[in-house]
Amino acid sequence: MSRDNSYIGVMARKNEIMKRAVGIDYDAYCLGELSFDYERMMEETGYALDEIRRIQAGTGVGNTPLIELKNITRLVRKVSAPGYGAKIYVKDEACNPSGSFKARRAAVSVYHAEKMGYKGVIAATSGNYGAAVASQAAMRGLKCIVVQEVYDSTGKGQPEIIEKGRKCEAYGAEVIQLTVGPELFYVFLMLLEETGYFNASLYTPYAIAGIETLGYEIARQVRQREGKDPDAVIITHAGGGNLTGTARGLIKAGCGSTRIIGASVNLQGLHMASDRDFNRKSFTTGHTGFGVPFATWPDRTDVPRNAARPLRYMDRYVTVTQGEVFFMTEVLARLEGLERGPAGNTSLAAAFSVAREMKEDEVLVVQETEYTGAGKHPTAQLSFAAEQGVEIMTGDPSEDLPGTRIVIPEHPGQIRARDMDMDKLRKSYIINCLEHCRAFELTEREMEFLAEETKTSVEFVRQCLNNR
Amino acid sequence: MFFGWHIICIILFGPLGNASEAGGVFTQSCFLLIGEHEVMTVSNKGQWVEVHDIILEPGQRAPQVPEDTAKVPLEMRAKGFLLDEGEIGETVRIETLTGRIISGKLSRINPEYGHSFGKPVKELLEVGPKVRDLLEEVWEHE
Repeated sequence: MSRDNSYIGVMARKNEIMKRAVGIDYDAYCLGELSFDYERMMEETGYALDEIRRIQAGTGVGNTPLIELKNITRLVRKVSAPGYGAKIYVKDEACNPSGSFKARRAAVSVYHAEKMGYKGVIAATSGNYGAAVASQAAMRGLKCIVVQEVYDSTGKGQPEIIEKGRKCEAYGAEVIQLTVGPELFYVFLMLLEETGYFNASLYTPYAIAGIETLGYEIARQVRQREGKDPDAVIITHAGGGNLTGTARGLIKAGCGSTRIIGASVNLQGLHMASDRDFNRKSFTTGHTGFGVPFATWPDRTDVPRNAARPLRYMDRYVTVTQGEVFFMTEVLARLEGLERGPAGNTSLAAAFSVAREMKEDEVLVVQETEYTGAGKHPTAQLSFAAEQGVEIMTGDPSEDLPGTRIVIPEHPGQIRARDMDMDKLRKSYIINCLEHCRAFELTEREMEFLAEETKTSVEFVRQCLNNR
Repeated sequence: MFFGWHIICIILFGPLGNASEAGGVFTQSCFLLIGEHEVMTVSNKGQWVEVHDIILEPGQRAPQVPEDTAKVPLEMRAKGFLLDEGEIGETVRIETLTGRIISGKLSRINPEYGHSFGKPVKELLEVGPKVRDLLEEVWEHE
């Protein structure tokens, strides 16, 4: 009998396809109606830190330089109150084989796929992760398919994503390019079913454990240079893996008091699944269109339980504008001689503002850079935005309007990270959990789980439930 | 009609070197001359091509997609070595880089990457001198 390959037919087989393609029995970690044993899942299905460092070293991943941004720090202090302006370091993750920190995630996923005897790997991503999986698969002799969302209905492609597709093909991957829509997942499922390849998901314990080495290296490098732990680490936040993995690595290195700050580009008002809005944005990742929904409901991915759970670790979440990130990308090249990003420089733009609030003797680490290329460059992305009718101007970044206007700041002092209300995000997560839960009454254990998930207390959870 | 009166003539070239020898198959290809640009319209076995397919028609889209997306189909583009003879717009089979055989309408022959670094952006060019000016004084005092 032939398979039902209609949208509904394939989606109905989701769990069965995923179980074969990931090899994890997620039900084994279930504790209650909504709670599960996160730490046990990470411990039993992931790999220990030392083992991951060995796996990554085997394919040239990790041990990237930590660079002090001396001129940017001088610029921060120039526009700060006396005594203020933290020293800024950047972890130059562009030095990884595929040009971004995503190589860390891919290294473990592809290693695991090879170990389990899979003949190939598939990743559903329009980001740097595709190239990372393709690069690692090339090294291990596995086949690789990357499924991307690239075009709108007029056939116009996002230059940044076209470049990422090119890079995947350069490493020998088959790239399936789709138009806008969440049904990318449907195509992805059919490919997994057809090929029997491993789902190199961004959200398995393997992928998240792979990033722990990044936090661990930051801790060691800062201690070596400064004789103390970093005061804060700022992380570009989209799907939550970057933040979760880095924070876990810092904790494993003993950095108990380092503040974890998430940063996203503000794309408020643009619908992520809209054919019209798709090409009106200049950032295809690191933005609030992923950052907010993934923080407030992580289990929306291609695996039953997302190992990326950012609210467990995030102390603060800030947004910056597209124009501010382009400005800082230019500053990084002009003052530090590093042509990187732009999307990965979201945390750098936020750091410029956050460092001004910190004392001169404090240390702030910008946790990544990414490679730059044709299409994936401020001039490419601003030229494309102008062609879509987006106005480009110099002025006050508070007048930036996603999809309509990109404002390049007139002066670095205008860059301002805007705080998201953390308690509102936490409350939103708790409400989303309840909407997915069939039980009417939450047990004490469920409340404790929600408190852990949101880095709060049972009392906070109770208050949220009472004020619902 | 897409090509309109710009079609000046159809010229048969051959042999064509690299473009015609992909996959080790010796071939000839047809070109259209459109203004000053040559566009291949007929492709032969073994060439590197792109195919296009409709995955979901507008009525079959996922229920959660916004209205503008629901009105258009979900389309796919993929590249591989051509297994059949074919003209642009004809349904053909290709072998992808992982060895899968898929079919779709032939959309591009020897597809090039058209993305670039874009045009210079005045608003960005002004950033460098501005921040260097701000630091001149700091550098002088160090």
